[in-house]
Amino acid sequence: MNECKDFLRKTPADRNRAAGRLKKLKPPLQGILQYDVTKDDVRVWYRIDKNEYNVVIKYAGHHPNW
Amino acid sequence: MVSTVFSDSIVNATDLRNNQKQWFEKAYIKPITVNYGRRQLAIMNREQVGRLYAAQHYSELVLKACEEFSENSKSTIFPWIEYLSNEGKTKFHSELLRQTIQSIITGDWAKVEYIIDDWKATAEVERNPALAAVLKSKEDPSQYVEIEG
Repeated sequence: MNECKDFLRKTPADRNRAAGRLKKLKPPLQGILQYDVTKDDVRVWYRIDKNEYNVVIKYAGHHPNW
Repeated sequence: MVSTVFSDSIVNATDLRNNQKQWFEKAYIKPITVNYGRRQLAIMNREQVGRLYAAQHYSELVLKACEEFSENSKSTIFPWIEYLSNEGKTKFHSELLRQTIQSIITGDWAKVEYIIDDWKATAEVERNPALAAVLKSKEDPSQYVEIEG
């Protein structure tokens, strides 16, 4: 989890630093990014607010109903 | 129409043994074929072999996926595609095909992987309407909570 926090703080959109864990969702979910915390189903979905320099976490945890 | 897509120098085993350095230097630039009895072996740059294998792997994958898409049949290559809208399916195939053509030229297949991963993640969210609704919802900044640590 610390690795995830560190990633979100420093380089939340940089695939080169995510080792395959970062996904950039497509329409109709464009703008939402997904970070795979574990290989099975723990995920963090977030949006980057470039104006406010914020990472807004939309949902974190297990993929619901999986 | 006959097109030559592969041409190389041919050497026999004895000549290769006697002039190893010269042939290996040549093989680094362009493949050479070694006659070994009635059989033929090729010596070539390892990076080129890697690129050829990657190109074959991804080209096969993408062509099979395009065939399934054109036949409108259930995908065995990308089974998760069924959770995308029709528009999403069309966009995915179009992006995949365009990037595959680019990657054949550049040899950079990571971008094809990114497209597949991104669309798969999208399909997995769309599979769950409750999660999709949360992710599509507009946030209220007054409800933001800063994460410590």
